[in-house]
Order: sequence, then structure tokens, then C-alpha cells
Amino acid sequence: MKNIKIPKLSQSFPARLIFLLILMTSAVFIIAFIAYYQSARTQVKNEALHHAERALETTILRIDQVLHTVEVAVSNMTWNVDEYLDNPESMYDLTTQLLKNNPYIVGSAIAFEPYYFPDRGMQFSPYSCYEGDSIVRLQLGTEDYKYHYSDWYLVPKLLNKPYWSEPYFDEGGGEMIMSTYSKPLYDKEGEMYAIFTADISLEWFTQLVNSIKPYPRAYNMMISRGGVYLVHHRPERILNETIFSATLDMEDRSVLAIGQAMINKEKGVAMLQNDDTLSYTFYAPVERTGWSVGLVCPEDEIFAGLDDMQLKVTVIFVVGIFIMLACCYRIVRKQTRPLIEFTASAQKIAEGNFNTSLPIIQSKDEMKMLRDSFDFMQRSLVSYTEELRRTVANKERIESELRIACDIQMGMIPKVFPPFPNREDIDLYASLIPAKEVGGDLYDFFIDNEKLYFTVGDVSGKGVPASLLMAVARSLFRNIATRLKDADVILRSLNDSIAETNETGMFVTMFLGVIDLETGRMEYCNAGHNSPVLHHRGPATFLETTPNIPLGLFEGFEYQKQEVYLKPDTQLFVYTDGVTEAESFTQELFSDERLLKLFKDERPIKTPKEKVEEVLANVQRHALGTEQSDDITLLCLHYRSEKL
Amino acid sequence: MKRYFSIILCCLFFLQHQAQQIVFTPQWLPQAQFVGYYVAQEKGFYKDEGLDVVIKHPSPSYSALNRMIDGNSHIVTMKLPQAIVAIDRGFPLVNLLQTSQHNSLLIVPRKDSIQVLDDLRNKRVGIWKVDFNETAQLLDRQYGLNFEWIQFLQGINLLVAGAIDATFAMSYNEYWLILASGIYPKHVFAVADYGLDIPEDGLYVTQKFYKAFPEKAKAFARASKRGWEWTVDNPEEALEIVMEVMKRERVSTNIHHQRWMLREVLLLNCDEKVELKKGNPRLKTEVLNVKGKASFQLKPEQLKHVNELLIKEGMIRKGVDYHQFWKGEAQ
Repeated sequence: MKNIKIPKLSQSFPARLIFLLILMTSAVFIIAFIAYYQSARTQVKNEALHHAERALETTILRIDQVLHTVEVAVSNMTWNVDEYLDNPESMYDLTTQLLKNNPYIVGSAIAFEPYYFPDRGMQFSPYSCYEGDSIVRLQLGTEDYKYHYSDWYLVPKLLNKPYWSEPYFDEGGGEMIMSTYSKPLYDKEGEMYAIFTADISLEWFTQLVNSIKPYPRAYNMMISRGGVYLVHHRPERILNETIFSATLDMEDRSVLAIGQAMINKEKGVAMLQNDDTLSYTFYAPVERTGWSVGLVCPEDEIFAGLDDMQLKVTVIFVVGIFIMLACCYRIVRKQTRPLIEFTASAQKIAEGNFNTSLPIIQSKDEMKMLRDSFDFMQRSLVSYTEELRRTVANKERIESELRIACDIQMGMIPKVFPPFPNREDIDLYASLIPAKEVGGDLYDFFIDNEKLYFTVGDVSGKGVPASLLMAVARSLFRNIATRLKDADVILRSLNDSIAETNETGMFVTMFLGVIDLETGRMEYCNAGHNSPVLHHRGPATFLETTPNIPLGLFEGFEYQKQEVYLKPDTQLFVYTDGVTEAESFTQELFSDERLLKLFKDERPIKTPKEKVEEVLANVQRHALGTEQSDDITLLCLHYRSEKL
Repeated sequence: MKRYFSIILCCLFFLQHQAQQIVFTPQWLPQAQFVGYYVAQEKGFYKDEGLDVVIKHPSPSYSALNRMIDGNSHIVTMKLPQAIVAIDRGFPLVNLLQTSQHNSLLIVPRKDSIQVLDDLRNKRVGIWKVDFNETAQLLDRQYGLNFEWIQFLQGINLLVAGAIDATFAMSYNEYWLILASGIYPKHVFAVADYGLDIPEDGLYVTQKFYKAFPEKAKAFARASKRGWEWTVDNPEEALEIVMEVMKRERVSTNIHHQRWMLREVLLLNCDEKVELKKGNPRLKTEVLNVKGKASFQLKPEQLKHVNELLIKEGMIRKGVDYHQFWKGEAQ
């Protein structure tokens, strides 16, 4: 058998959609059905109650009619008793007459008080009853049956009102359940002298009560004032059990309350749990006798039709849900299949195959919109990628050119150290580290005619424009310095040359020095550059400089030169602001103080190369973790005095 | 001639048979109150003693005592005071077996407004017509209650109909019927609680019969006692025997009622007094398991007590002599 793969809810959109759909459909259906069922149930129950009530009322009315007939028949005959009191024998005739007059009466007696007729003795009770179809007459009271102590005699006598006796089994007579109606008779003085009785058979009532059969398993009962069963579907209980005793084995005690209500002549309905069956018990009294008729209808039968319908609806619903499940799954799957195809297309596009074909969508719905968006995205991707490719190629070209520019720039500055290996009186080391591919810093030096010309400059800005100006400044320095000799003249000439063609407003700070190597006299001129560090004996100091202004700003500016005599064994450290303004990651500057602290030795003991590397190492340590923001240039020269 | 001879022989045989057959009459209609005797009969204990016993029941109007006085029954059961009163009235009896050791008589009021015994003063109170109402009369006289006695034949219908204010009832019989009719009285008065815990049922024969057939009388008592003892050991089976007898005699009843009665009667037979379970509306009859000890003896002090009570209330002139009266087997 082919394995059916059940999709996981979390992994399948159709499955999730259908699950939610069915969940909500079921909820709506169940709520609607419960509401309908409850309402229908109430209606069915009310109808059953009404039906049972009517059936009970009709039955009780018919019973009452018969009882009333008997009562009237006896009442009508009492006048005759008064009339014939002088003739005791005629009492037999009266009882016989009563039997003949009323078909329901099966026996009748006129039971007199003891010695009412002195000649008749203590017990005198003429009695007529049926024996077969004929009526027989006899004397009721005997030595073995002292009727004065019977219920039917005592109760009406004590209560001074007619009384329907508790039903009893007429043994040896009619062999049936009977009840006796007893009516006390009073003389003119109001003294009771006899009890007139009429016996009726309850057989007819039994049949009548049993004829109420609204449901196949419904049963009826009738109980007496004392709760004794007169009618019951289990014959062994009749006259043997009361409603209270018969149900001793039952778990449900509600029957006791029902019994109490019935013997209290109440009318009503109650639930009864009997042998796992829940039943509605309807009951109503026969007022005249104090009996109570009950109708027990199993709940499942009352609601059988409704329950049947409930079952059918449930089956239809369950089957419907499954069909709906199958249909929905097919439809939703069909509708969402392009999504899977889009997934595959997206995967291919992601792999770089931009020309992958997209699924064909015939509809004009959201799926079509998705396809259009996809298509647009695909085309955009192609053009973007092309653009990117071009940009990358450009970038690579520019980078390559920049690398060349950098090499050219670096080639402009002297990079052979030591630069004057044959001279002992002077040592020099310099280093330039651009922040970008090309930088705006410069340094240069040369010896001409026993004079060392050196300069360190910093072009404003960075990158290619700065590097171009740097190249210009360096070329001018070489040309002018060799020609003009004096530091202030050189700078003035440089300033004029740069300012003349400076339309971008860029400028160059520069420190320029000319050391007469024989005398140690140094002429220098500063164009807005940092003061160099001078180190001879004891802690180093910044060289006193007149700031002037950077080169290229004002044409014709008069730069002032200064001079100092360098003592033998002096180090001069010239640098750009990339050193003192290097920022740590807390944006703290490296500062002049930190720089000065690096020159605290008693005398310059390190070679210029060592010094430059030391300062550079400190600056880089200070700026650890941050990107270099400015070009760094360091130049250190060591003047050792005259030639050795 | 031959024919006359055979008739005479037949008559002699019949008389002989009559003389041998013992008619036993319990004091009321068939019910579990007399279970020991039914068991002895059904289980053949009487036969084992060589007795031919027939059980004939009285009617509500024609008591066992009257049947014996009329010569229709040889052995009867009676309540102890009833027997003493009968002797005082010139009908000598002997007691063969004292089954009951305690009094079962209750007064059950119709309304809960009757809360103490004194509330019953001058009230209409139902009492059986048949003559075992001596204990009730003792109570009436001792406490000066001045009941308006309403004698009835049987049952509880007067009380159910509300024709009387209260009724005397046996704890094992009418009391259960009252509960079963849906009346749950709050206050029930046990006569025993008022100094009248007088033993009830015992087995009696006339002194004349006892003198003529002492062995038969003793054998009957022995077999009856065996019946009672068997009942204690086999209560459910004994209950079945009772139900069978009642069905045969066409007396309306049900198993719950008879089980209740059987238990109550067996408890009354025990020497130790057991408190009555008053007004249990569920009527749930407990499992028959009566383990108390029953002696079946009439003790001299019991007789003395009843003698004194009856003399005091003027119901007899002089008490009966224990040795003349008690002929039961010594324990």
C-alpha cells in the first residue's frame, strides 16, 4: 500500500490553512448545533410534559368520575336507610339495590354500631355482594371478623367524614384489589349509628392507568395514601411494597422525594434514576381518595427522535468535514503550487542563474501580482548585477591607478636610509605612512654645499587632491631650495608659487630647515607647522618657532626665518599633526605632552631610525583599534658636529 | 357388622392421630417474628423430636389465646404479661421457652408536635384489638396518660389517615410499615425507656397439657429453640423460609420488611439490650448478622418485675409462682 504522507502543520501552508478553516467551521457548527439542540430539547420536553400532563389529567378525571358516581349512589341511598330503620331486614334490600343501581359497586354493607338493634346483637351488618353474576346477601360481622375495629369503619367514624379505604386484596371473594367507600350515617341527634359502604374493584382503574402508554418503555403506577403500589408494571410489588420500600436497593434517592410529593397529593414532574435509566416521572393526585398516579417515561425515549436527528447530523457533519478536507486540500494545493515553483526559481536565481524561467500564471490574482513582482525583481537584479560588475571593474581600475600613484608618490621622497652613509656628522631617518592609498604629507632633504636642506609638510585634506599638491610642493621645494638657499626666501617663493595657482583653497603647512653642517647653525622657517622637538641634554623641548601662515593662502606673504645653533649631539624631531592628533578609541589625542615624554633621556641615545620607530610604535599603540585618520610623517635628524 | 367395625377403627385412628398432632399457633399472622418455629417445622426439627406439628395462625379478631381456650391450639406464643393476666383470670399456663428478653413496644405519633410522653396525655392512641396490650395499659396507668384507646384490628391505616394522634407499634413490624409509608416521625417513644422493658414473646401450653404431655411439651420447646439457633446461623435462608410461609398464607409483604423484622426480633432475643434505630428514612436494612447471646430463659427477676407492675396497677390480684410457671429447660 502506498504510504500517504501527512504534511506537518508547521511545514505546510495548505495544511495549516485547512486546519484553521476546519477548526473554525467545526466551532461555528458545534455552537450552532448546541444552540439548536438545546432549544429543540426544551421544546420536546415541554411537549412531553404537556402530553403527559394531559394524559394524566384525563385518566384522573375518568377515575374521579367513577368515584364520584359511587359517592353519589351511596348518598342517594342513605335517605332510604333512615326511612327503613324500623325494619332491619330491609337493609339487605338497600345494599342489593345499590349494587344493581351502580355497575362499579361490587359489594355494599350497612354496618351498624354495636347493639343498635338490640335484638340483632353486637354485630349487625347486612352485606350484599356478587358471587359470579348473582348477588348474595350475608351478615358481615362474625366472631372472627369484628368489623367495628376495621379501618373502613373506624376512620370515617373518628374523622366524621366519608372515607375511601386503603385498597386491599379481596381474598376468598372477588380475588381482586378493592377499595371501600365508607359514609357515616347520623341520627337526628347527630349520633353516628352506622357506616354505609360500597366496595369497588380497582381492576378497571388498573386497566385505565395502564392504558397510558406514550412511549414504548414508559410505565405507570398508582400508589395509595400510604405509598402502597396499587398499579405497577411489576405485579409482585402491588400491595406488597410501598414506593419507599421498593426502591431501597436503588442508588438514586430522588424516588423518596417523588414518593413524598405523591403521598402529599402534589402534582409535578421529577427526574428519576432507575437501573441506569434516567426517567421523567409525572405525577398527579386523585384528590378524592388521596391516591396518586405516576407516569414514568425514560428520557431516552422522550428524546429518541431528537437524539436520532443528532446522530444523523453528527454523521453528516463528520463525513462533510472529511470531504471538505479533501476538496480544500486539493484546491489550496493547486492554488499555492506556483509558490513552490517560485521557491525553486528563487533558489536558482539565488545561485546566480538570473535567466531562470518563472512559473506561468494564468489567473489575474495575487499570484499573478507575485509573478510580476518576481519578474521585475529578476530584471532589476540582472541590471543591478551588471551595474555592480561595472562599478567593481571601475573600482578595481581606480585602485590599481591609486596603487601606482602611491608608488610614484613614495618614489618622490627619499627612501634610502641612511641617506649619507659616508658622513659621520649627520644621521637622518624619516617615515611617511599615508592614511589612504595616497597621502598629503611630504618630507624631503638633501645636502648641498655642506648644507642640509630638509623639510616636512602637510597638505590640507587627504587622498588624491592632497597627494597632487604634495607632489607639486615637493617638486617646488627641490627646485627652489637648490636655487635660493635661504629658508625664508624658499618658503616665500613656495608660497607664491602655490598661491598663484591655488583655486581650490588648499594649503600646505611646512617646516623648513637649513643646517650649516660645519657650524651647526640652523636657519629655519615655519609655515603654520607643528614645532619640532629639540633634544640635546636633559629633557627635550619644542623648538621655538614663529607660526607664520601655511603656504598657498596669501600670495606675497613675508615669512620670517629664525635661527638656532645646534650643539653637537643634538636630535631634531620633525613631524606632522598625524602624530600628535592620533586618536585613541576614547577619542583622546596623542598630544604634545605624550610626544615630549618620549624624549626624556639625558641625551639622545637612540639613532634616528630607532627614535622614529619608537614614536611610531607609541602612536600606533595609542590609536589601537581605530582607523588611521591622518597621514603620519616623522623625520629625525641627529647632528653630531663637525666631520670626524 | 364388618362395616361398623371398620368405621369404629377409622374413628379410633382419627382420634389417635388427633391426640398425637400438635397444633401450634403463634400470636399473629405469619411473619419473621416467628421465624424459629417456621424453621423448626421446615427443617424437620419437630419431626426429629417425634412430633407431628401443624402451624395454624390466628386472625386479627381471634387471638392465639382464645384459640387455646377454645381448644383449637395446643401450644401458642404469647407475651409474658398477657400470660400472667390469663393465669390470674383462671387459665393456668406454663412457659416452655422465653424467646424475647426485651420489649419492642413503641408509641409513634402522627405529628412531630408531640415531643415528650406527656404530650400524649388524653390523646387518641391506637392499640391492637387482640389481647396483647397489657404493657400499653401499664404505661398508660403508670404515667397517668389517660389515653383515648382506639382499638383496631391491624396495620397502620388509622395513623396514615390521620384518624388517631399516635399508635402503638412493634419496633419490628408496624414501625417499619410507618416508615415505609413515607412518614418519618421525629419523636418515637420506646416503652422500654420508661421502666417497662418487659420480656415479650414466650412459648406457652396449658398446665393441663403440660401435665398430660410433659415430654411432648419439652420436645417442642427444644426443637423450637433449635429452630431459633439455626436462624441465627443461617439468617438469609431462614428469611427465605419466612417468605415462603407468608406466600403460602397469602400475606402481603416484601423482603425488606421481613429482613428488618428478622433482625429486630433476633436482637430482642439477645440478653443484652440493643438500642432501637429510630426513624431511619432510608429503611436500609443492614446485613443480618446478630451475634448477641440468646439464653431463651425466663429469669426469676424478670417475672418478679412483671408480677409487681401488674399488681401495682391492679391488673392482677396476685403474681404467678416462678417454679409453677417456668418449665423451660435450664441452661
